[in-house]
Amino acid sequence: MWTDAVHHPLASRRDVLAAGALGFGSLALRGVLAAEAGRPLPIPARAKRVIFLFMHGGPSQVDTFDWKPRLQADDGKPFPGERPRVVFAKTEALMASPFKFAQHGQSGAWVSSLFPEVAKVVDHLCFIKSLHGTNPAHGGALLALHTGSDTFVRPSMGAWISYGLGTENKDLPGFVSICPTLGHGGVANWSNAFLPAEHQGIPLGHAAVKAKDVRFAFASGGDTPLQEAEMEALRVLNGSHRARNFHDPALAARMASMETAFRLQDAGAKVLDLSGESASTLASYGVDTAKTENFGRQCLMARRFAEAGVRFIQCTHSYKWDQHESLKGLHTSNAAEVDLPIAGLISDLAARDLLKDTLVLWAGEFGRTPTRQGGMGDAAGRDHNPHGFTVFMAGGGVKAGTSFGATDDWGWFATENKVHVHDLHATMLHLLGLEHEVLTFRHAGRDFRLTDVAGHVVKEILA
Amino acid sequence: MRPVILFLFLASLVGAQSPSAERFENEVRPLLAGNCYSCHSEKAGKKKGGLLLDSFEGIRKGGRSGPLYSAGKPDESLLWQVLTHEHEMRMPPKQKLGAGAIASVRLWIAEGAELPAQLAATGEAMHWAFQPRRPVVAEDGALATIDDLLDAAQERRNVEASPRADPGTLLRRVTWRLTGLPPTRDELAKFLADPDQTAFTSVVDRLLASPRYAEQMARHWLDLARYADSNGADENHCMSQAWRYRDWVVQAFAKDLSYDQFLMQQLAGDLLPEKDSAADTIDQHIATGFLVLGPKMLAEQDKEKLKYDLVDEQMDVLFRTALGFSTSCARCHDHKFDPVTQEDYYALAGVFASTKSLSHTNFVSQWMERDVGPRARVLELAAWRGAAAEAAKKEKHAMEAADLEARRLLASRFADYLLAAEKTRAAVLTLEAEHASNGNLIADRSMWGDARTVVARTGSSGLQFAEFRFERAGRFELELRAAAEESRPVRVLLDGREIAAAALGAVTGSWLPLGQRWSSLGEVELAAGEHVLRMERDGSFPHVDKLRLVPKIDERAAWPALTPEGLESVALRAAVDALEVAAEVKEAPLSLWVGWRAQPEAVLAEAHAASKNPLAVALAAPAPRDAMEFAGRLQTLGLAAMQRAEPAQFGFDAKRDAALGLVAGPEGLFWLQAGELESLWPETRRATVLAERLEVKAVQGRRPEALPVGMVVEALPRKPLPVLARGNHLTPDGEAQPLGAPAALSGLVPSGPFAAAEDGRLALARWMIDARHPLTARVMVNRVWLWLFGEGLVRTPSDFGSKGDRPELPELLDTLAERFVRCGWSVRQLVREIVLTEAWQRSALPTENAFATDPENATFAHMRPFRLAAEEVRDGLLLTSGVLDVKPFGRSLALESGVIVTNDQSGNLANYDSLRRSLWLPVVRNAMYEMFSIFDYVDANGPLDRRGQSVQPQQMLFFLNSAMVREAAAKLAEASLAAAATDSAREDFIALGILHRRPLDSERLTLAGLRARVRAEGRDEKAAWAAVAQVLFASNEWLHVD
Repeated sequence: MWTDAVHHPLASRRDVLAAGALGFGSLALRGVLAAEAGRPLPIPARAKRVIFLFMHGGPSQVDTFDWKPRLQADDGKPFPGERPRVVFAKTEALMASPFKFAQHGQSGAWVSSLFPEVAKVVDHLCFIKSLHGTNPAHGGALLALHTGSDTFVRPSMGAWISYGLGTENKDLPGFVSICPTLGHGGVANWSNAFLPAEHQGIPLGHAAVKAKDVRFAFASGGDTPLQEAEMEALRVLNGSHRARNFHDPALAARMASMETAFRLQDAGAKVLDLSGESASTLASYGVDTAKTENFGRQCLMARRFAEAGVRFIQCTHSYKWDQHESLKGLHTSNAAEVDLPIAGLISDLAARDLLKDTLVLWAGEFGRTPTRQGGMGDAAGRDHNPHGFTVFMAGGGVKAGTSFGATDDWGWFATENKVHVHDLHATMLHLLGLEHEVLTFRHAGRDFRLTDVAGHVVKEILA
Repeated sequence: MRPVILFLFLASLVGAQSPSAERFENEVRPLLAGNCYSCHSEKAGKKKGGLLLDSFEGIRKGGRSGPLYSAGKPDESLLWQVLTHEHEMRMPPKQKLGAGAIASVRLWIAEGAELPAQLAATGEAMHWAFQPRRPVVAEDGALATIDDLLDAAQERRNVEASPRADPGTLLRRVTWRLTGLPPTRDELAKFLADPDQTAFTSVVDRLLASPRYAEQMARHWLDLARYADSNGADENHCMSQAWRYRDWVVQAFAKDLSYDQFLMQQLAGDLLPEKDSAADTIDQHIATGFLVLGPKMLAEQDKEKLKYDLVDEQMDVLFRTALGFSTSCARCHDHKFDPVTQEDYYALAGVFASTKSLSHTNFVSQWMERDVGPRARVLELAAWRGAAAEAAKKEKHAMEAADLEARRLLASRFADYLLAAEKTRAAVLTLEAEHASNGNLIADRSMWGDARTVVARTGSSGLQFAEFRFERAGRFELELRAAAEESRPVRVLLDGREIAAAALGAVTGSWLPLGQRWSSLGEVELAAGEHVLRMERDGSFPHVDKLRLVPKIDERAAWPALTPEGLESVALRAAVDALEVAAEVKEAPLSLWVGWRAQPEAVLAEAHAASKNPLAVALAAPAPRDAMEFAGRLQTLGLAAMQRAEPAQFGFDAKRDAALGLVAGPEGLFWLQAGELESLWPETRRATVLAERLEVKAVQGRRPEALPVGMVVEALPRKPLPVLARGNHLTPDGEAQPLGAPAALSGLVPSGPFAAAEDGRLALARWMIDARHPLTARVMVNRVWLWLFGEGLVRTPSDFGSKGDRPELPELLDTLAERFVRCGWSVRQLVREIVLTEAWQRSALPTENAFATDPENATFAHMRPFRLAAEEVRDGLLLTSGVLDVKPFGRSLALESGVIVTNDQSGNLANYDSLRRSLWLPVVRNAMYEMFSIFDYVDANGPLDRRGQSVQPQQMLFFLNSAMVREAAAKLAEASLAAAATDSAREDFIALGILHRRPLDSERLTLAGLRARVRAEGRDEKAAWAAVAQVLFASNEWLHVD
């Protein structure tokens, strides 16, 4: 199953060294050495890394960014079109959004009253309002968004990107996921599947752990003075063992990985330590306010990981957005937790000139139906809708202050310039300088891709 | 080494292909397939000139122009003439073949134009792995030995093999490999005293007889079977019966169940004749858990797609694992590389579609779990379950009827209760738990909003408490309302004096607000002035909602106009609650009443206008004169709703539902729990219920002996499937395919379409374990070779197809496979044979010559070092530090099926805090135990044919920082202090335990230096020795075994 070369010791010393001695992230596509020698990429890369802000549960497009006057007008009327063949659950008549929409910024982007802070940075954003997938259940939709497949265990997009680009920081993993959900696919959403192990997403805590408490597994708990003494003894013992056993190249790799481990403890702790951030920075992410503290901290850590050279950083606002009922109140409270942190992150990245080569993606696993579910009035909610929903990107080579694609008049189905989840993946890879049809891995007798046998780069949104 | 003898030996071998047949296979057939089949093959459906080239018969016969060749005489052969375009008929007509290709054909004819023996007639099954085995047999008929064949291979390539490993290394290697555990100091001492081959043989036999051997082999198989205790995929439900399959696998290896039967039972154990003992019959069924274990998208709403995905998963795992090739490509199109057509795929898929693996496909589907045992007993149990369900249903109906009548009686005095409750409420002191004046409990408002806010503290140790200050005087009943899923009694003190040592200890059913119950702490006497009520507990708290002081009955003289006669106190108490809720929750059924009492006209007008409360319309006009009239109208509405509240009447009627909610809904006036309502049943109804209860009890008494519930399959009527275009179930294409095995392979093992009389799974299993099957034995012996040598003879153990690795030593693979089949498919004998070879006992250090001549070690001239697997790391730490619990078998994850093991907010319910072998720990998909996942056991979603051996920094952090390693080191340090008196004896004790050798002098110096540094940090002797043990555990030498 594992095609990394550690199985063929004599033949693959170089690969072992790449995997082990250099710590995280050997390079499949180009090789560490080539990348470090500055070999030009096959296509120009606009982004060096991705920050994925995942809104688990499925935020409603028609209550956030996809303004539908017709839906407001047809409140309470039956949906006139044909409903999807497979739905998650029954829904009633059309329901107007309970939120007020207005246009913002130079670009005049429509934003609902849920996101007043994001509304202030809309000119950095590129909305895709015609994203669509197929699976109307959380698990399938999460897996499809993260791995491209809702049927099989496949590498996560972060693992593909780490595999394709390697690492910029040998002391840190190429792919970290902060407070990821353990449900709806769990680890499968950040797994390397058949890609070499070093491309696995490294989780920092999970959804039940507060962002302020996350840490790298086993990266602390040791006794520092003792640890130094132990490391010294290990260097000697392993060195003489290695001299007696020249035949096993894994030994050298492991000796090097011990040094990496030691540096990771340090490097990881430094990134996670926010004490050096100014009060105004903390405030801009909402870290100083109870409501926004948790997600704000995630976003600020994401920026720090980005600065440290991590390729793919995911922040998860876990399983909050699934409003089958009481959408008005709960969407309001959810948005209040993330609005300021998201805006803070984007402004901060821009101020530090990191936005130009950092691609920020905001997305849920699907959107919600324009039709009502649950009770009436404040108790009303909406069902899952994978057929047309809105995501936004910022930085990293996308056209700022634009919107692409559209849903029908009520916001159920993507109709204009449709963008499939595979297309989103293809476009992200393209922005990173990777062609989705070229980034492959041989496994079980065939070449696999993130986009399977589909996917088109959405050229129209490239800056 | 015996070079001369070996050479002669090889020359005398029989069974290999003739050179001409080999050439046909390797050179001629590919060019025929590539250039000629389009006009001359059954596959293409074209037989131009009467010639078929994809069958041997056709090649031998030739076409209408006559025979293709004359053996040994290429110049006279038609084939040669047409290919060279010397004949008037030129083939291929458009483009002459290259000179090399034509030369191959000439050589083949010149060498005798032989065709490979015994091959399938279909011409497609020519890939090496699909051919019959060609074992190496000596003249006396005996099969060649492993060492003979490897020696010969090394001879051919001029590879110098390594000598036997030193005894300590050998004992470590064999003990780790066969049991997944290190040897003990005693075992080491015994073997070092007498390390010859005879002694080694007895070590091997000791290990093979150990239960630990079966556990280690089972671990390998469970990887292939993608064994897990949770579903993974979208809904990570606990598979609470999966462990029975795991235990079955361990038992199978322990009793060396023959591999053919091992496969047969996993595929079709439920269809085999019953055994004499019920336990054996149960085992056969449990084995089919293999088919059910896979991850499933339970919440997939396209249920047809779910079924096809499930069939695909079952086929993929079975074929990759048992036959070394994948069928999955052919779901959507003919396999590009291997001879599996889309027709073949659906002929096989029909077998699994005719198998029940899901018990239902409701909103969230559920895999099969059912009673497992002899058919007669299963039927008896099913009949009894039916009777028990019937009796329970009758009892339930009787109770419902009694409840309904009780509710009607209550509802007929609705107005009385409502008015009385209002007065009573005014006299009661209610304290919200979240308004404590002091304490460290946490208020949780997330469940149902502020009205049901609870205080609790979960998962914490240390003293938890809450204090309430209030002023009241007189005699009161003290009551508390709380929810608790497990018993968490609290101590209650009034003004510093304990009034209850263990209140709220009752389990109420759930943590949720619906589980909240009132309980009384008895009477308290309060003097005038301020009082402090305190609850405390050392540890987690129940979920407390409210506290209440109800004046004692004889104090009621002081109350204004008390309750009317005949009101039941239990119902009145419920009514008081309902008013309290309504005062805080806008949507509560009685909120309209509470609002109207405060502000009569405004509330009704507003509610009417917004029409949010469907009752408002009925109540608003004409405006009620007084509370009595308003209450009366509510009573009328409630009673009317009850009259129409027959269970069969579905359909949405907002007003009816709202009215019903007033009297019977949660938070309605009489929100009484089942037990509470019981006290209000009319006597006749009570008698009926009691009679039904007696019947339930009687049926319970007739319960047949229990059978285990297993995660197993069940046969369904045969359901052949049509080909699905592009694998999409919405686009079936053509006729249903008769069930059968892939045509390309069925030449070797005749199957044809499976007979209608037999279940497809049984037929498929028989086909698979036929001694002639080219793949089954080859794939398994290669796996065992891989488990023992760290590399297979075929390096893609689950892909023997044309894209897989081609073995360098096919004769060895075939000879082993042949012997495996002849020896009754005994895995234990195969393992024994391999580990007792010279080859397996060689040092891991290659000779200088081998470095150059065989850098890939394809001839196994030396052993491959291996890194311990995740379980081995953990088990090794536990065993070496003396704490390993080897108790085998049983359930790993103590949760019911359907309970979500890992969910979005609460984390992971699996518990790994155990000293048992890792095999018995839960395997949770999509949230693998952190320590496993760091050491490359990451994924149990699909067949895992070998563990990764990655080198990752987290692994080192585990050795440096984890509690598991620190504790093991501390235990070993303690033991060394007790066992030995001198430094060097202690060093020996620890090093022998971990590395199985004494330290070198230079290492002693290093370890002494380490101890000195630890002492210099002010640590004690134990810490110094623990550091020594930790460093040795963390050393490369422990993790990488030669």
